[in-house]
Amino acid sequence: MPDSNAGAAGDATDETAVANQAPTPAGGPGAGRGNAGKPTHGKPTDGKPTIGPLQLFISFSLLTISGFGGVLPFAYRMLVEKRQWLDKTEFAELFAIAQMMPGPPILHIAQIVGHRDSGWRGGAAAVLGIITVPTLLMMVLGLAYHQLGDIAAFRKALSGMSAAAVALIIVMGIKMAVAVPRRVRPWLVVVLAFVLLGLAHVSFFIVMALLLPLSFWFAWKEPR
Amino acid sequence: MDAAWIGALTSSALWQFCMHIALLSGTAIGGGMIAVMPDVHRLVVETNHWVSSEQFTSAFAMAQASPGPNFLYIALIGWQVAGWKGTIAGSIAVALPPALVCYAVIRLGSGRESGALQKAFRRSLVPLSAGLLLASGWVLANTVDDSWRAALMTIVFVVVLLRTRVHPLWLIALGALLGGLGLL
Repeated sequence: MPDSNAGAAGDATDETAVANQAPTPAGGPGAGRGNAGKPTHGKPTDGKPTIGPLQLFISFSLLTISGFGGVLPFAYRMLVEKRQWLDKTEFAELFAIAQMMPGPPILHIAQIVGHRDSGWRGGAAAVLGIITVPTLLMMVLGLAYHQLGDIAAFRKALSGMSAAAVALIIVMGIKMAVAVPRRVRPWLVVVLAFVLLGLAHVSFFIVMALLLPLSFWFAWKEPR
Repeated sequence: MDAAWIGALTSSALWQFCMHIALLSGTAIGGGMIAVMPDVHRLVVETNHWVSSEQFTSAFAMAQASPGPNFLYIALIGWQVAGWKGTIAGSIAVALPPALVCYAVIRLGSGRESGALQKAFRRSLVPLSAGLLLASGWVLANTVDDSWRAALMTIVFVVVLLRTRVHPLWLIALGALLGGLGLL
């Protein structure tokens, strides 16, 4: 793939960006030195003045409200292109690290950037920056739904929106599936995950407990 | 119905909701909160009937169409479980466990080197994520596409998204328009 950074593709959902990123081999273009995740335990990065928790909170708040339908592509734009807190390689490495941790990758990217600048306060400020304003917005939307939910046209419009939103999820899944090596064992994992979670409605924890070790074992045995 | 009884029920539902979300977000490797959507749906719609299937998908669609990270659909479902408290609690439940894991990783300094183990781990997540996301799409499509016209629109939009670089927000707006006009 030509350029696998999350921002360049212009895809609009967090997980779509994941899907774009995934095919990059660990030793690919973005994974050079491997020092992006090196913890500095709160010491400011050499040569750069400290950004500070307040500025981190404001910057990530601005980032998150500009992210329509997914924040990650906008994160690339802000962190790498606009503010230049990270270079392209650092962003790719942070993204890879973020993907290995549970939960939304954007939160981890924000937290690591914040932590590297001003310790745990910086990390907390960055994470709060990502979630605070959208959470308030969700309250307004919840209230709007509560007030308008009985209007037939509003409900029909929402169900139309939902049918469109499903397409986004399916596309994420397809993009991710394209990145799966065309061999029997990885595809066995894809099919098992789909059947257990999607058709048999098995609990996510059971699915992960079964398939994460299996998938890891397959990946470990597979030749590069 | 007795008001105190309802109050107790609401608070306990909120507690259960938050605990489950916290467990999910603390373990959801590979695909984030979208991939665990079938499990959230099972919890709030199928098992506990806290919200209807329609409310669930509406919350998801509204979160997709508004600015902010798309995992915050959880906060909107929180609103439907327990009002404004549910929104805040849902938001904390989804963000706090990953933040603690991340903090531990930063302090322990792992993720520094990308050894063979990490590479294998990352490769192992790709088929898992694909399967989980496709399952999410399937579960959601089953609840949302209740007419052949809606199903057709979903399929057409999938093709459009794969073939073009149109911003997804336009498709969501188009879906709202077609739905609002009663064409689906």
